[in-house]
Amino acid sequence: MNNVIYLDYAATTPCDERVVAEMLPHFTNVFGNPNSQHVFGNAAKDALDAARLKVSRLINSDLDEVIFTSGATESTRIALTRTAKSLSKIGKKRFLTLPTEHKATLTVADALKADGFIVELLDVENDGMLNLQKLEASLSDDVGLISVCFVNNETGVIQNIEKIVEICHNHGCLIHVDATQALGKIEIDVKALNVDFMSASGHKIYAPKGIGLLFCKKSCVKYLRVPKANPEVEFGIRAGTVPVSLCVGFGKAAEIASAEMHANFERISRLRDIFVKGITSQLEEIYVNGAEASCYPGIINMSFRGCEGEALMMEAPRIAVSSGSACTSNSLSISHVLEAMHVPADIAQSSLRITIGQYTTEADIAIAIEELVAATKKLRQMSPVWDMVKSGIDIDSVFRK
Amino acid sequence: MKYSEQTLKYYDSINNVGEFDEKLPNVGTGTVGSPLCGDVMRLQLLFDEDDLIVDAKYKVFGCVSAIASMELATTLLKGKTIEQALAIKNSDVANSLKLSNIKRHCSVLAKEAIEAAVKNYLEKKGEGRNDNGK
Repeated sequence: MNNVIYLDYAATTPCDERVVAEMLPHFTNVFGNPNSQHVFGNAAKDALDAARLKVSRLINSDLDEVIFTSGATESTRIALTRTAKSLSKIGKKRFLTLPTEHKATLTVADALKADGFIVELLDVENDGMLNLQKLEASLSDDVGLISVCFVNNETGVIQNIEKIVEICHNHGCLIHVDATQALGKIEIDVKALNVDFMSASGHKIYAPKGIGLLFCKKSCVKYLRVPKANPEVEFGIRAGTVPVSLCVGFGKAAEIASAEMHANFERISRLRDIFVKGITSQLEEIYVNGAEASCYPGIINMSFRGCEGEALMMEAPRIAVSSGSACTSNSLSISHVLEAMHVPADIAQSSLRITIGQYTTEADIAIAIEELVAATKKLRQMSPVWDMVKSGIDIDSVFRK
Repeated sequence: MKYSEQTLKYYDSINNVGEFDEKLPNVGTGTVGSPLCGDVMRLQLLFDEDDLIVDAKYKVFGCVSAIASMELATTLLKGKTIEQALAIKNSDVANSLKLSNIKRHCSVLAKEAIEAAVKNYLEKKGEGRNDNGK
């Protein structure tokens, strides 16, 4: 495992050593329950407040607008389920989202549908961007809530959140933003964006797994509170003893991200360019899926036409990447994201997601290029689909029959 | 994705990738699957005058299990009669490779490829006879 290069930072990240160092005392010496009224409790409460402050600074929110959860999946579920139910009482029973959302959101959408809500998936353009005119046209009076992913986890496509929020608010619709892949990577200012709810996870920004945030604008807290909850614990929104050590880790990671985000972005952009040029200069029929002009550079969704994704991974053993192909997903269907973007089936099946992170070096990228070029050349030699591409056959028409 | 030892054994010793001239009268070609389900397989069988399979080649666009399924199938096919070839069951392939349930469709495709290639050969042969009879 140690000689394999990790290029799957969108799946999860290792903990930053500075994060671990900050956390360690909170497993042993500073172990109190932040709700206890003694010195141990007070010390834990102080650590929790400090961590919350660091996280709030990363997104420019107020301190009491950050609720710690187990991660973005839980945050999304809380925000969408409770808000939708609250809004249904005033006749807003329609919920909108995008077909390219993470499964965490689509699963909640399915559950809402089963509960009698009207769920609508808005079309995206072929580059993955939401068409703002179509959004505007879909916002009727009974639409209470919409959920939009900030940075898509498969393609890196960045939605125009500022504009989307403006349109939604003009039509009296609240918005939840899934910022799992955006947090700590691109600038997020919840005040300037004016979002109502936002979810993210710690483990995508070098904090441990099991901790995440739910941002809830003050005026929207009423939608999330559950009756009889203890208001002293996460503002009455999330019950259970707060895992202070994890919060401290998340706080430290947020602090580091605030300081290093811009430098990392520049470095990662450069590495992306080297990677894309390295591949496309040596191979033909390579596709980068998603809007180039509005994309987080650390996520590269690339199709190596003629080669199936899982086989590519097998043939490139020195790198750890992820595949959007049917085989890997255990579902035997094409990536729902690429499908919604109308990427032809054979190109979608040839896709890999390569994600670059803070520990990726130029030498790593050079090896990745070498591995993938060799893998593609080998697999194309044994690919009937590649033979068809080379002889000018329209693959889509062959298999549509 | 974890692969079985048996799948990796066939994947790591690929011998039968390749192709014959599709136009030859003693070559049967079968292409099955679709990119939508993830796998496209092309099997070619080379027959002698007694309809015995003397060689088998394949190409695959697909996952590791799909490639291993075809490698095993082509190994099994060599030296077989048409009846013996058609008697190969998808479970023979799936069980030998210890394919997981989600990957069993690879063995089904391999079986379909054998049927398609044999059918193509027999059709060619039939047409050939008709020509001779004229």
